[in-house]
Formats: sequence, C-alpha cells, structure tokens
Amino acid sequence: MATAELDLPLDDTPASRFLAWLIGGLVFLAVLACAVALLAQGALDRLSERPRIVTVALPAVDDPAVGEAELARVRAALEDMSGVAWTAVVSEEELDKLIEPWFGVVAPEARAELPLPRLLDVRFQPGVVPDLTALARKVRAIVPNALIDETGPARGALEEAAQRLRWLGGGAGLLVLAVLVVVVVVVTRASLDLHDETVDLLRLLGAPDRYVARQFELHAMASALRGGSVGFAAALATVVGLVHLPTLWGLRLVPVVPRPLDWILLAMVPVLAALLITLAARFAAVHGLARLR
Amino acid sequence: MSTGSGMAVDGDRSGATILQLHGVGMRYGSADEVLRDIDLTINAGTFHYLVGPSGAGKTSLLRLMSLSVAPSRGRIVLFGRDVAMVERDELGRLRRRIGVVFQDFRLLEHLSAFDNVALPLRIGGADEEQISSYVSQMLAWLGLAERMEAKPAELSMGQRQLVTVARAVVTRPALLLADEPTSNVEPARVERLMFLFGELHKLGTAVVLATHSRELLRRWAFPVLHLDRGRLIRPVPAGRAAAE
Ligand SMILES: Nc1ncnc2c1ncn2[C@@H]1O[C@H](COP(=O)(O)OP(=O)(O)OP(=O)(O)O)[C@@H](O)[C@H]1O
Ligand SMILES: [Mg+2]
Repeated sequence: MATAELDLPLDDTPASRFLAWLIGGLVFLAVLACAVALLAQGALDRLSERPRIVTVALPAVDDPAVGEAELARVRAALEDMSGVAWTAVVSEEELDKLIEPWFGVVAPEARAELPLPRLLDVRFQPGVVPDLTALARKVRAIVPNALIDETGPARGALEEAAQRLRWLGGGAGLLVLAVLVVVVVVVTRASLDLHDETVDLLRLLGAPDRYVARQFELHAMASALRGGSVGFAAALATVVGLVHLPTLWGLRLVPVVPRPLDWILLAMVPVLAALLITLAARFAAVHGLARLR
Repeated sequence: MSTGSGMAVDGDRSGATILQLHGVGMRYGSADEVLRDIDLTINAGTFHYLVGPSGAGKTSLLRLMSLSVAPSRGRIVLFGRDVAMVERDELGRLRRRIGVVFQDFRLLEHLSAFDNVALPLRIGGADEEQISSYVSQMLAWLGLAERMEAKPAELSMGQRQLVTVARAVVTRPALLLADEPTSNVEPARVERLMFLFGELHKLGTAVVLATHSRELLRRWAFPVLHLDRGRLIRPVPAGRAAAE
C-alpha cells in the first residue's frame, strides 16, 4: 500500500483510517445523485425529441362539400405554420374505433346520421413545442368553433417531475462533494494536530512545508482511490440494478436507461472527488502548518 | 565506511564561521532563563565537547543551535544568516545542513531503521538509489546490517542510539550537534562512533558533542565548552579539560 511509506503514521489514527470509508460512502452518494440527475436529463431529452401531436376537431356540418372545403383550408393554413411536420385527417375507421365505446359498432348507414366531428392530427417536428394559442387563432379564423387539444400523456407534469429530479440530483451531488471537502479538511487538521511531534521532527530535519503537506496529500489521495473506487463500484451496481433488474418482472422502476455518455460522466464523479480530496488535504495541511509555526 | 570517495562535506575547512551566538538567552515558557549571555563562535572543521552538570542547559543550547527553539534574547547567525530574519523555506535549507543526534533519539516508531536513516536524504530530495547505498553502508558500518528492517521498538537502546547517529550523519552535515550520543552504546561501538565523528570533523564538519563521559574527554582530546547553570565558561584547552 502506498501509504505504508509515509513519514507520518497517518493510517494509525482513527480519523485517518476511517477517511477511506467516509470517502467511499460519500462517493457512493455523489454517484447516485448524479445518476438521478443524468437519467432525468435523459428523460427530458427524450420527451422533447418525441414529436408532439395536436388534434383539431371541426364540428360537423350538414353539407359534406362545405365540410371538405373547410378541412382543406384549415390543413393548408396549418401546414404553412412553422414547426408543423404534417397534418393528417383521422380516417373514418379510426373515428369509428374512437366512438365505439359510446355507440357500439355503428352501421354504415347509421353513421351518416351521427353528427361526428372531423378530426385532424397536426404533427410537429421533433423538439418543437406547439404554440397552442397561435394555432387556435389560425384555425378559428376559418372555423370559429373548432376544438383544439394536445393529445398524448400529461407531458407537462412528467416534464416538470423530470426537471425537478434533475436539479435535485445535481444539487445533492454537489452538496455531497462539498461535504467531502469539509470532511477532508477537518480530518487533515485533526491529524496535523495529532502528529505535531512528528511534524516537528520533519521540520527539524529541514523538511519544507510542502514536503510535510505532501504527506497528508498522498494519504488523502490513497484514501480517495481506495474508498472512491469501492463507493463508485457500489453506486454503479446500484444504478445498473435499478435500471435493468426490474425488467425481469416486466416492470421498470426507472423508465429510462443511461446513455453511453452518462456512464462516462458518472465515471468522472470519483475522479473529480479524488481531485477535490487531494486539493482539500493540501490546502488544509499548508494552512495548518503555517498556523503551527 | 569510506568517507572520502568524492563526497565532500557541506562546509569548508578554511575555518569559516558556521555558527555565532551573540548575547543569547533562552527560557521555556515564562520560567527563568535556562541559558544566559551566551557568546559563542563555531568554525568549520572544529570539534567541541559540551559539558556541564545535569540541568546546566546542554540540551537547551543544542536546541538553540539546531533552530528547534528561538532565543528569548540575542542573535544567532548560522551559515552567515541571521536566523531571526530568515524566511520559512530558507530555514528548512539551513536545517538540512545540520545533523542532530537527539538525547531522546526521536526515531519514528512506524518506520524501519533503514527508513529512519533515509528520512533526511528523502527530505533533501536524494534519489532512491543513492539513498539505498548511503543508508545501507552507514548502517552496516555501525554494525546494524542485520537490523535494517527492524522497527525502533525491536532494537536495544544502544542500537536505537546508533540509528539516531546514522540519521544525523548520513547527509554529511556542515554542523553536527550530538547530545550524549554514546551514553547507551556498548564500549566497543563507542570507538566506532568517535572514529566516525572524527572523520567528519577532518572533512570539515563542525562537531559539538554534549557528554557526561570523562572517559571520552580523556581518550579523544578536543576543546571543551563548559556550561554551568546556563552560563558558558570560556573554552578550556583540550589537555587541561581532561585533567580537570
Ligand atoms: N521542555 C522543557 N520545558 C521546561 N523546562 C525545561 C525543558 N527542557 C529543559 N528544561 C529545563 O531547562 C534546564 C536545562 O535543561 P537541559 O535539558 O538543557 O539540561 P542538560 O544540561 O541537557 O541536562 P542533562 O545533562 O540532564 O541532559 C533544566 O532546569 C530543565 O529543567
Ligand atoms: Mg541534556
């Protein structure tokens, strides 16, 4: 082990020995928090990429020819709108299916008697958020009593939840990293006090502050690598478990899987943690040594 | 051990001034001064005994000289630098030119004899190959070849003292401050230690050796600094000191 060669017996103090465990636990939490943030971001990206469909309902009119003309004008107007990919008239068969729950199977002759609206699906290009008021204004300029409705699941709520999760996860991750820095500073300070005699000897032998500080830095780095890799492995196993295991029973706890980039970003968390830990230890040691003089 | 072989001691033999104390006083905390009005010059290539009854202040004076404590009065000039004016990093550089044999050893318990001796070389940034050769030569010469991997706790008092000496001299310091370096060492080894100190002295190291041993003063005649209740009595010439 790298720490065995340090001049300071840093592994012999309880606080220092537990440093690796503490770091392991905190890195575990930080990785999990970042995984939540990244998965939420993934869900958001997917939601925004899924093209949105708005359905326009034109009330029934008596004269089929008038109806056809209205429909054609509305379609032309909408296809002119920016962001609209295409429009499609909902076919009679589909309409039948929609009304089946209420009216049962409708005989072809009876169907003409029903005042059924004509439905028009307006599909937007991926990533475009439909401006429903502008759309309504355009349609109602032609058919004043048209109904407009965004179809699909309640995406507003879903989006909001994902956004909240993203901030929550990111915030928690940052908080955990901040706690990590504080813990390392406190532990370094404590062991500096604890080993003041040895520190004193090193100085008498002519060791400059940076040599002594380097001891704490190396110890913190070794703890970070040991604890960090265990914490990271545990967090990774947890994420994989949550994302993939439930599919065995056909239900998913997490509706999105991490993308390749997400795994890379998650792997950066322990690296960032180790870097922060090392810097925090150096900072605490250098400041502590200046104070000790 | 061959002390020649192209490795010059840090310092020169021209009698250059290594250390000067001007009107120095020192106290622990707020107690009375344990050292008073010390005026002393140590030149390169000199050898001095530091003697005096227990509690006279020998260890305290060596602490002052090794820059472990600050004087409460007076001025210390080391290698031409006024110590009070020296920057922190510079202080480390000055200290690296001093070898100290502590009366209480101050070995690091978790390190082997080898690593304890290697410590000042590592601090000085020597490469491991050089460290390995210097340290093993030194320990072998002191009869500790078989005990290099032993921790201090596994060594006898005498062996620990030898390790402490090895740590002090392995860097070939310009100033060697030895606080009773032979007190625990068996007589056969005392000879070796004194030979070692003598060799360093010949190479230009200024040696100050605190001792209670009349035997030492008699067998290896060097000038004596006499401390009494914190005051330095004028250096006594070598011959007379032993006779006293
Ligand atoms: N750390 C300390 N704190 C307070 N007083 C001390 C300390 N070290 C030594 N003293 C006091 O300073 C005086 C000089 O002590 P010092 O150890 O320098 O004497 P010494 O000549 O080395 O004695 P010895 O021959 O027993 O080693 C003594 O009165 C001692 O009690
Ligand atoms: Mg003493």
